[in-house]
Amino acid sequence: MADNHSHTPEADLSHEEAAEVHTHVRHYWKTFWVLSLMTVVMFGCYFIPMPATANEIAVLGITALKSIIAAFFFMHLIGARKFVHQVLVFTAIFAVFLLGLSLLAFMDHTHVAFF
Amino acid sequence: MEIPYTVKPRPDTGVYNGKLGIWLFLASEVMLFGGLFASYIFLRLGAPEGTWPNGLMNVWAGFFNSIILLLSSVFVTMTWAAVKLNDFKGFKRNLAITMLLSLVFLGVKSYEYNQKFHHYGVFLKDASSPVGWSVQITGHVLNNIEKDDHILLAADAYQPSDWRSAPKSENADKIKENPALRFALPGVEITEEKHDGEPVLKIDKKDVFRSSYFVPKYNSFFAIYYTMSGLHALHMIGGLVVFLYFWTFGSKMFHTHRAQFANRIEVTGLFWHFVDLIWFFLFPVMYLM
Repeated sequence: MADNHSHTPEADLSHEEAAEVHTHVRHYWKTFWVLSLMTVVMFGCYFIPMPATANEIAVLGITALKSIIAAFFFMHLIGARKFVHQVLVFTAIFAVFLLGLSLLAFMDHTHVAFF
Repeated sequence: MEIPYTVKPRPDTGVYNGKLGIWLFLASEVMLFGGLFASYIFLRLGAPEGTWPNGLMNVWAGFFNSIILLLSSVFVTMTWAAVKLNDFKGFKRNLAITMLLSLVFLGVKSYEYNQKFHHYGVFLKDASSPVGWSVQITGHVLNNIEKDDHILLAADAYQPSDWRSAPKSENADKIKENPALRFALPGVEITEEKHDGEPVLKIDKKDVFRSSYFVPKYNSFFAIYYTMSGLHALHMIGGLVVFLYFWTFGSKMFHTHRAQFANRIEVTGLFWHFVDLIWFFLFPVMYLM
């Protein structure tokens, strides 16, 4: 197979491909530092005196954001194929359905209305 | 017969088969952990007001483990990068660091479990309370609770059942001077003894609503905590076994089918990131809220 790329001495990767891998590595470290900082902030919230609800919102908000960042950059969801996204959308629908049904059953059982 | 699409993407899905497989597996894992998180939510919502425990976990251990697991996620991607760059030494080093970090995580977790298994909690009987108890005192047991008619407890904390709205004690100033006085409760005798700086309490068994070590039966919180963190730890052990295989026998493929090997590392890495992601939620939910 014809290959127009020039090769690095270290591998049978082209210079461009090797540079891409190095860029990925830099992104992984940046992601790590961002996620670590967010973990520290989230941990800090635990020590700040605030109402329980405010604490829960802050902590869960940061956690949700951390998950999105990790999924996008560590798990490469940002550049993933459409098929992978489709699988995840279906999973999300089923997960919401699972939680929704359980919530309805809970409300029915306890006579507590959340909405 | 050669297995198709181990390196090149399948034309219809756009991804190689291993990647498709791991994403489908992770989707099923989302449902597994989703069900458990739903259980946690409903146990918490269903707990009588003010009875959900708070402050029973070692938050520093949880925080430390969060950073450790995050770091292991970076090193697993570094492992993949080393394979791509045909750097065998780098691959070995990065994968070894990943395994070491996961062992540190599991070590800290074992330490935490061990601490919990030796921690004891006593719920004091209170007929006027809607839940049957008013205060839980925690600490370390110093006597043979099976034989004796009382519990000797080196107490380190207590939590009123309505702790969120508990009025400040009238004896707040006295408690500041002598912290042992915070345990001055009906049915509790504060002895003269001290154990590791903690006051030793003598609690008559007839005043106890229920008591046990911090094992799953202690309360709903520990039941769901051990279930979820235990399942998470099992996932980590599974990942560790796969890493160990790649580091030893499986590494032969590095020299024979490197592209396929890089894909194997990538899908294992995806699984590892997912394990990290689950911990993202477990840490705040179990330790901080």
